Amino acid sequence: MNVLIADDHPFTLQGTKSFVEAYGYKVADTCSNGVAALNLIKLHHPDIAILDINMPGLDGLDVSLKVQESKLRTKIILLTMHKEMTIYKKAIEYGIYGYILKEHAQTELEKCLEEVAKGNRYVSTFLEDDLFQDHSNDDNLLSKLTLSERKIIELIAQQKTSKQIAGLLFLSEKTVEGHRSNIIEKLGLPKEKNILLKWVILNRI
Amino acid sequence: MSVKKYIIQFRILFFLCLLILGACNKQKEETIIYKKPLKLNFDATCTWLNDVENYNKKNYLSVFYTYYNQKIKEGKFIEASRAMEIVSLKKSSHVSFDKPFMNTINFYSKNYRNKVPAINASFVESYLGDYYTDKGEFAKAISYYTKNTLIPVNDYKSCYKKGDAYSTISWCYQCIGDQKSALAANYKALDYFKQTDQTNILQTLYDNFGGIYEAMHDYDNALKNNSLAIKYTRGEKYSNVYTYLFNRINIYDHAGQYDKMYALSDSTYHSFKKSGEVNTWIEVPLTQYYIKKLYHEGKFEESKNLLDELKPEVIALNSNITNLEYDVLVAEYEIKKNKGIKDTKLIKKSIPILLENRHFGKLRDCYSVLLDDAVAKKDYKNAHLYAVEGAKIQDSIASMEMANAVIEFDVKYKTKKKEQQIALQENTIQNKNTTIALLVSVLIGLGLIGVALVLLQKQRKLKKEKQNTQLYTKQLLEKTEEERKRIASDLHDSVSHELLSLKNTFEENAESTNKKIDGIINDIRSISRNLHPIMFDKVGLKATINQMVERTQNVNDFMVTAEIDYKGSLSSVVELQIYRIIQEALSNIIKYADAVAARISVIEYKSTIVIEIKDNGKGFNVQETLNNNHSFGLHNIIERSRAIGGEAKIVSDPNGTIITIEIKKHL
Repeated sequence: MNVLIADDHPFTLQGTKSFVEAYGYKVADTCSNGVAALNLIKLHHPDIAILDINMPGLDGLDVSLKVQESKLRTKIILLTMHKEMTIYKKAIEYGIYGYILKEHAQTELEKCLEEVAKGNRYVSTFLEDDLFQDHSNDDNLLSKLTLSERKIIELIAQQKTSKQIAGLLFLSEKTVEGHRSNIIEKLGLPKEKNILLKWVILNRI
Repeated sequence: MSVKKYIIQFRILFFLCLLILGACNKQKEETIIYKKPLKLNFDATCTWLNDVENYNKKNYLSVFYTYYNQKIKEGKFIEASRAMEIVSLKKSSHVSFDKPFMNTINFYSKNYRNKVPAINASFVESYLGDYYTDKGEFAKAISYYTKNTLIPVNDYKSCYKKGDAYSTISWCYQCIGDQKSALAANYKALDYFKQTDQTNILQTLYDNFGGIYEAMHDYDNALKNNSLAIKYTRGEKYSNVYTYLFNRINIYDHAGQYDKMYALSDSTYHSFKKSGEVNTWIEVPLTQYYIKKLYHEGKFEESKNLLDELKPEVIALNSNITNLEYDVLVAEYEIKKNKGIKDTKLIKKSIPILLENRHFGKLRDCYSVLLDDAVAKKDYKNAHLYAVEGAKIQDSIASMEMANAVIEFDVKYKTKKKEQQIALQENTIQNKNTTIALLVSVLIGLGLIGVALVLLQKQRKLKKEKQNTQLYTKQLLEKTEEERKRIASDLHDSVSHELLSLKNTFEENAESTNKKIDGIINDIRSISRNLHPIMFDKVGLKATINQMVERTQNVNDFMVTAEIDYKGSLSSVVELQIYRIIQEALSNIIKYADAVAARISVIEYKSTIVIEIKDNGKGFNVQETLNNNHSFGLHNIIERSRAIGGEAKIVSDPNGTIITIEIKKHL
């Protein structure tokens, strides 16, 4: 298993190299910018490339895209400080195999390398947590619902019709109806008329 | 109010003014000038009858009667009327009023005149008027002439006829001393004569004016008008020049200019004799003055011969006035020659008639003769009586002359009044014009004020906008400082603090240390995100907005939906501004709107991109908020929109707020 590591921070680069080697992989090349990384990937076709995102020249995402475009067999793991979903989504779009955060590299890198080496995808658990971070601490029934669904429940409690709800939330009536059936499903309610209203009254929401 | 509207209003006002001015302009009256027909459509007989040369021929009347009777028989009344008109005019001008002709005229008037147009028979009234004039019955004469003044004017002939009727009426009034009416009638005649292309027909009018001025003792003007009358006779073969010359002599007589009177009497008399004209009516008065001149020179024998020569002509003429004039002439001769008249009856019997007809001029002559006679006969009793009567007549003339003087003053006064009236009218017109000018200038002034106001308002608006911009810049700087302060404090309070705490707990246990470090990293992420959207260039507008929407929903528990139909045709710099605008708007909604939900849409059209941020919150007063000092957010939106070539429209009411920004693509 040949691994390429690219990071513009020499300290981080050295640290990562040590870990990867410690995990029993062979570090074929290291470099400190995207352009060099891409050239080396093209030249040596390493099995795995661990890339930082923020690098001079081409960044990690650029390199990922080029690799995807060139249909190279090198699997990319992004090792980054970026915890933004926008970045992650972009990265997934570019066909990366692994996405882990630098601060949790110590705990996740080995597992990630392992999964990717097997041809699986690995996404940092800390990143996944972030997606549900805001309402995961809410432990009542509503915590299962999305914001839209909760807002709809609130408006049902105010005796609003689907049409009124659609108007108030700038949604289409159809969307609201869709949300309603999702809510019924999520709450495990029987499919009967005005069941949501009854449930709302019953639960004094 | 927009400038355009002002301009339109101003234009409307301006046109109104023009209309008013147009209406105030006097319409010029057009006077129709009737042209005298060049050729008289007379047949041979009528042409012959019309020739003055033929009037004194013995067969003149028989030619007329034959022609007239034949035409009547043939039913050609127009021709018959024409012939009779010609003859009646000739007879009138020669003061010849014989019975057979009068009867013919009366018969014609009774039976045939309604078979021809009124104008063709108007000569009947002229002839009858002339007849009564000669008889001294002026009232009757005037009534006949007046009928002819009713002729409707539609051609040269009718116009001339009407003017002629007024002219003759004027002369009649002059004879009976009603100078006022004379003047009025003469002016009317002038009106009509001036509507023709013939100037020479004005001569009779100037002669009338001369007579009127004479009666008013204004001899200078009398002579002036008389000269004009004579001037217009120039070039005429058979003219009224002798009548006007006689009138001139008369003026000299009354003016006391005897030298001129005698000289003119002499020359006129000889000139008349030399001309070979046969017109007793004018010959008698001319001779009267010539004889006066002879008396003055003591040539009684010559006078007697002249009187004898004249007698058959006078008898033949049989004119009342001429008879009387002749009688007075003879009486005067007798007084001079024989110191007394053989028979005063002749004179005395005409007195009541003259008195009745108010023929004061002739009456005075009669009393003067009688007085001279009585003195000559040493009949002092009668002399006294005649003197008293004469004085009475003189008084009546004098008083009449006085009255005339008054009338003259009246006329002058009236003229003056009329002049004043005209001046007043002119003044009024001028005042009107001034008012209009004033009005126009006031309107223009108002228009200018309006324009000035609009400009001022615009300037104020600009000033306000400038102030707002300045305020915005100031606030921008302040905000930047605030931002820096916040970053500094964030870094200081969270990062530094955490690091310090980390340092203290470093030795204790590894797990809590790790947790703290993770916390610091997350803090820094948050600070960084707040400063700038992470990797905006890479992620793009759509994903960044969606991320922001998601984050707002999660963090603020606020319902936001987004519809982004954007294909990326704007530069990243512009995109960032759009992001900032949406960020600002959303932040405002969360802070102030009290809304249930908000909706963001970025829609790309063919040439524009429309960004809309709306909420269903409580709304706010846009203008008021923009003008107060706590509207940095709104100004931020407006200024950023302007910076990327768009304009933010902010509409807000109690049902919510909509911010719309339209950006042109080719930027």
